[in-house]
Amino acid sequence: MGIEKSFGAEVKVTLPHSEQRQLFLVIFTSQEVGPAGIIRAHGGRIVLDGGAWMIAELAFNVATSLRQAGEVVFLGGISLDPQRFATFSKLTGLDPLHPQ
Amino acid sequence: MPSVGQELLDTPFPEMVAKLAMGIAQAQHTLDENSVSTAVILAETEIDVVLNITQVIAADGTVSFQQSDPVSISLIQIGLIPTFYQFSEATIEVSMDIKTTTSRETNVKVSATAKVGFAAWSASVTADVSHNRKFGKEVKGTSRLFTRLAPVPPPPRIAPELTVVDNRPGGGV
Repeated sequence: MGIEKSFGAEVKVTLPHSEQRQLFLVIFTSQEVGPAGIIRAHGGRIVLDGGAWMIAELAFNVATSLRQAGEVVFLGGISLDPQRFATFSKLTGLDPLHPQ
Repeated sequence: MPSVGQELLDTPFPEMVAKLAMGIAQAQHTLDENSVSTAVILAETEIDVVLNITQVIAADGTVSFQQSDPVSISLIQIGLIPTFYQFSEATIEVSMDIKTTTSRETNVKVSATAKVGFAAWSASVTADVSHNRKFGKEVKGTSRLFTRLAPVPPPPRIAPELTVVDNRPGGGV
């Protein structure tokens, strides 16, 4: 018998409402489902558009619900490594302090 | 009848702690798997980057652009890394509200009948006494499991070391 049964209780699991935004890698079933529109409809900001995949800035709780969407194949949180990105920026000339 | 103290002692705290720990371990494993999957996808997903564009202004003033061949670079090489999460805190709160009631009820019913006839009479008295004792017990329990999830730095060597060797004249500067 589970613990909840010994108490005769109902178990409800809810996630805290978190408005904290972070970067997510979102992969969609195909480009035809309109990934950009889905991201924007959820209040997200597209950082990098790869067609069927997106790097987008989303609120944590929104991303959690988006994971359940049928059009989404994969969703994972990502971060930016400043050191590596600085190297890439310098290489491509994106860094104004170290132009190509 | 069990006492309130016994009710609290009967609370399966070891079982609760063990189940919470196992739940956290399973959730942590799932989170790590998701982060590793993210790392694999970031390493396998490539974008084409044009590293060099040359603008040529001819003597007659016409402008043309020449670009180098695009280079495929993975997202992890750009600097995008998976976020790893870790359970930093777990709390179990159990509160119990136990209410016991006892009530006693006694019902007495007395009836008497008498009959008088020719040289004879009869009488009867009946008494019906019933005792009811009721015990009531109401137990309300609330348990709250609270866990805190925090992002943590990725493990070292999540991405290969990037070394740039720039052989362009002037080092590209």
